[in-house]
Amino acid sequence: MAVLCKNCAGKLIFNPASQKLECNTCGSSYRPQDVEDIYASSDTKFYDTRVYTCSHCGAEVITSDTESSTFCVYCGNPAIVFSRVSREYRPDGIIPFKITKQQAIENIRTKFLKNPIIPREIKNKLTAENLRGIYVPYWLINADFTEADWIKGKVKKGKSSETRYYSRAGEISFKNVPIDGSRILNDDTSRKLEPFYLEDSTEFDEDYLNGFYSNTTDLSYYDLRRSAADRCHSLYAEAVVKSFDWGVKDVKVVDSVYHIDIHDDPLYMMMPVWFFTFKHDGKPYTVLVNGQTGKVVGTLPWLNKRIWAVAITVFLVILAFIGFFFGGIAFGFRKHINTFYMHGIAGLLATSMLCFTTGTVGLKRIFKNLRLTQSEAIFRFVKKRQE
Amino acid sequence: MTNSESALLVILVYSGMMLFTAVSYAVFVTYLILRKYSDFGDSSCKIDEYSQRGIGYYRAVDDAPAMEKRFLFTEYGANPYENNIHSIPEVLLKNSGDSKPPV
Repeated sequence: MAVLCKNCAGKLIFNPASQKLECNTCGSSYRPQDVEDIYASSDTKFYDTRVYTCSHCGAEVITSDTESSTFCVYCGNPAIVFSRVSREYRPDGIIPFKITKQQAIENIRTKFLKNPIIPREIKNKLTAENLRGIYVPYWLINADFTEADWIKGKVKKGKSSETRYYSRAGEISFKNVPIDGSRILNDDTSRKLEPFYLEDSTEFDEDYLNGFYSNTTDLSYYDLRRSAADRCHSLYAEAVVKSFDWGVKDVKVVDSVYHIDIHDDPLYMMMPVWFFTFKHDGKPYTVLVNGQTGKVVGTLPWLNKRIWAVAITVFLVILAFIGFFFGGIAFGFRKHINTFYMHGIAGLLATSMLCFTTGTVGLKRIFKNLRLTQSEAIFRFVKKRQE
Repeated sequence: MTNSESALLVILVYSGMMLFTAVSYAVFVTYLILRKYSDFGDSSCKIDEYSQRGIGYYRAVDDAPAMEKRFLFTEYGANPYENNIHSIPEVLLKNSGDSKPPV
């Protein structure tokens, strides 16, 4: 657990800006590696965390901090009491927070400012109280990977296109692939937080956790292997599809078989993530900020009225515009219609099909991302952790 | 088919095409707006970030006949790492109590 200031016995908090532990009381600062943790377990395989229980609502709050007089994030009640010390396996390494809370707020704010479709009340919810820094467990794996793919693509032949099949089998060695070590955080969400740059990683020291929440890995080896195989497969399949030249269109992996061999001793790491949580229309939302790079990840709710207004305006403008073309044909001006005119209509129809496909696929992805952001589980995961 | 019927048919067909075109563009513009203003960070890393060597292909057949698929998965579908034994970190072993068996 955390240590106290040598000068005044005040609470030491890790400051991402200075990369030092700072005393809120007397202003002293220390490098984490220079601070001797008098509470540290003699068994270096473990470190201790403190679990607090809210006597009002029963919620559990986990922290590695020495601070005990805190309030419950569930019900806001200050009646929270120390429950127990929990021994957790010590991670191999940690990437300390580099982005401060204020920088994380600024990064999200730049996405919000001048954003015409996000409700104003959400902009107002962007406060320090709604932002929590959590060290999320990851596994860094090195692995050998082999995959066989049956691939479909279309090749232009004259004026039409022909479907062709391709077979590919190969192997690759992966190095330092990060795998989210927590079941509660969706893999699709955690992947978007990447990259994490390992140059900033250091040996794990629980002093870095001071002032932040943390979570521990709940994966088994089989869970890790499954997640790692899926992750490597998606990287591999994407590279295979991109390896086809421009002559082959609509390339898709139809069927594949893949195997992974994770090398000995994958590294257990803690990665820094800021979680911005809020409720809107009764639904929970979580926007994440990579605590090392500042990358913002998430899909925000929008003002339905404005989106509908834009969609209907575009619909009417396009309708009026093409009404001129189609109306000309429908109402007997056919003798004035030349080839250029007909080509224009054909082009409009062709692009509209492309727009429809791209638009529907894109909207589907955005709604999927919105569901990830709305995850009740992640919301609860964040709310359980408190400074 | 009378002239009025054929005129009606033409109007219906062209109206349908007009509506489809207008809806398509409206959907596309809506998607662009939501992508720009609502959906953040929708990208992940590429294979180069995690491998310096790239993919080494054993087999690459273009315009493959149907029988190739069967051959491909028979020849390259087996797990080459099946007998490899690794040391597993204790924390992963500890968590295996509540996990499902491997598929």
